[in-house]
Amino acid sequence: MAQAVIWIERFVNAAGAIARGLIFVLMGVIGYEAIARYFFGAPTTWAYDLSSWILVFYVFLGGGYALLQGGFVRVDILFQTLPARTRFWLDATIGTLLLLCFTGSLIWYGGELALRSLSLGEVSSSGGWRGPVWPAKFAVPFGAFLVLLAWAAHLARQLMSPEEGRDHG
Amino acid sequence: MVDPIIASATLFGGMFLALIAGVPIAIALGGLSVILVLVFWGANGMSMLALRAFGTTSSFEYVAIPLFIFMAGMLERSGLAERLFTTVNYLVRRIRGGLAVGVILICTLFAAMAGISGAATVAMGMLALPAMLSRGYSKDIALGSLAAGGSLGILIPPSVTMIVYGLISNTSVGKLYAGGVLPGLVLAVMFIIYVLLRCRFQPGLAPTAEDIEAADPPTISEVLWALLPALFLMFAVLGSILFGLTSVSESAAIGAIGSILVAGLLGHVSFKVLNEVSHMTLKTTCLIFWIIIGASAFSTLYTALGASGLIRDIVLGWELNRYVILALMMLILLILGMFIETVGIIMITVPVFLPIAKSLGFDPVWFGILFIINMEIGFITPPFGYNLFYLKGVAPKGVTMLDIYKSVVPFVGVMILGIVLFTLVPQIVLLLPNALF
Repeated sequence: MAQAVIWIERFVNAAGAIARGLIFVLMGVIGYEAIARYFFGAPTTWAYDLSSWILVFYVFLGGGYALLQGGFVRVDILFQTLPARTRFWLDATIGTLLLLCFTGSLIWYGGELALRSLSLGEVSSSGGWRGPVWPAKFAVPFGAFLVLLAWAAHLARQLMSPEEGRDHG
Repeated sequence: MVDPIIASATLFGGMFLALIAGVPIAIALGGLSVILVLVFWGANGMSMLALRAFGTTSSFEYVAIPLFIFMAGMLERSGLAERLFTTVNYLVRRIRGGLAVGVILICTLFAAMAGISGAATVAMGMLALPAMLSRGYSKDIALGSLAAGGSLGILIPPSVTMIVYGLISNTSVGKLYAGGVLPGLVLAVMFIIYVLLRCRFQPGLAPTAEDIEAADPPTISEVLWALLPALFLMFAVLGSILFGLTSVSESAAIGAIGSILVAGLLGHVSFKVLNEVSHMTLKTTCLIFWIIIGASAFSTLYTALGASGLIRDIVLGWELNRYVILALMMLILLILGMFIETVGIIMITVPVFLPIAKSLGFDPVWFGILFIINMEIGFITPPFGYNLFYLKGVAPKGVTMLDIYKSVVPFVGVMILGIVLFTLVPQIVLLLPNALF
């Protein structure tokens, strides 16, 4: 199991590493648009959509990563004072139930929306550059899947060594 | 039609239980809204969460959030704080409590460049805290001025919290920005007056010039190197937004690029720094957005079930003075701020509070600014206050969490006084938005 957890974490962190780089792409795209518009009077047709879609990838590729890094804050006034075992069981029951509903809905219905977008050949409605929408739509179910994986890894780590899991999630 | 009373009770009861059980806020809100959609609307409504998730994250206005967070992280590590500190340090050397005044001044400057409250607290905490404590400042004054000064970051534009509030409440972010300027400056002045008065009547709390070795005056070039980059960034971010030259997201990108340039100019850019900042940016951005995603279906459901209308009617039915209701709402925000993350509070309370405030005839921009000041207080009120954690993270050994908790109490009092002042004189908030838009 330990090996599986390590592989899951590597996978989630790899997606996170891609997301981390996207912030610089975002600056580049908007910076380019600003220069093109203000200095050359030639705005791009694609910068507006592209930067919005980069945000989708940024948030969804980064979700699992953030969860592993303790970026999903809790109201921990009571939680913090509980013994590690109890915290594990709360996470494993009520936390997992809610997480499954949340990510399950995003994966199932988000996937459906993405497949429909792909099969319809949906393109951007603004700017007239007709960029495909489906890649960003697939980021939603994929990102939810990453969060699900990260949560599983978080639970497994707590199970293996309760104290180590303290800073997760 | 579902009974709105049962719906509200299930909604808030479930949320309360899940949050108390320590479920991460985003997951609690997201999971609950899926369950409630299923219960109240059946499978037909189920694609709403995914739709809203894509709709929210793909809106151009939200692009500003990661960019402003990146900019703040870069500023924190840019070396700008050191330079400003040297200059201000010299200016305030003769005043009892001068360093604390200097800290508040620099935090105010930082607030006009950074959109989150952590940047100033961390950068100044690392620098000013050891300096103040070693010169005999009491922990109370030193810690309190850092925590409170840093929290101005979300009130003085740019502000990530205002972007979220503006988009959720359909209030113009530009107007909110303009509305935050004067209250931010007024609060900074009130903090300074408080520090000076306290040090005057309790001279043991802070030393004066006689107790400190003479500092060399900074050279002209040192002053310029500190102020010019700061002014450049402020203009890049605020000038463009307030005078309507660019959209908020564009100026955020310009600010983010500018912050890399400034840090590079001051010799503080390296692969390590960019790596750290990109990590912090992703983590903080995801924290905010996953709460928004989880809560977006929640607030839609909530409004659609008629629960927000119901609560509004109940509250208006009490026929209380409108300022009493306002005070009640502020009190609830204050209490929530002690326990829950800012974005979570916005998502949960705005659909309930805003219709009430509007029915009572309060200006939405003005109400928004009071709301933001409450969130600012939330950043420094224990047990859950980000600035307190940041401060603990950079504080030297010997500073306990309890020291930090105690130090913020009087500053919270000053901020509440500020809210009262802005309620009595709403022009302080509304002067700029009305003049600019």
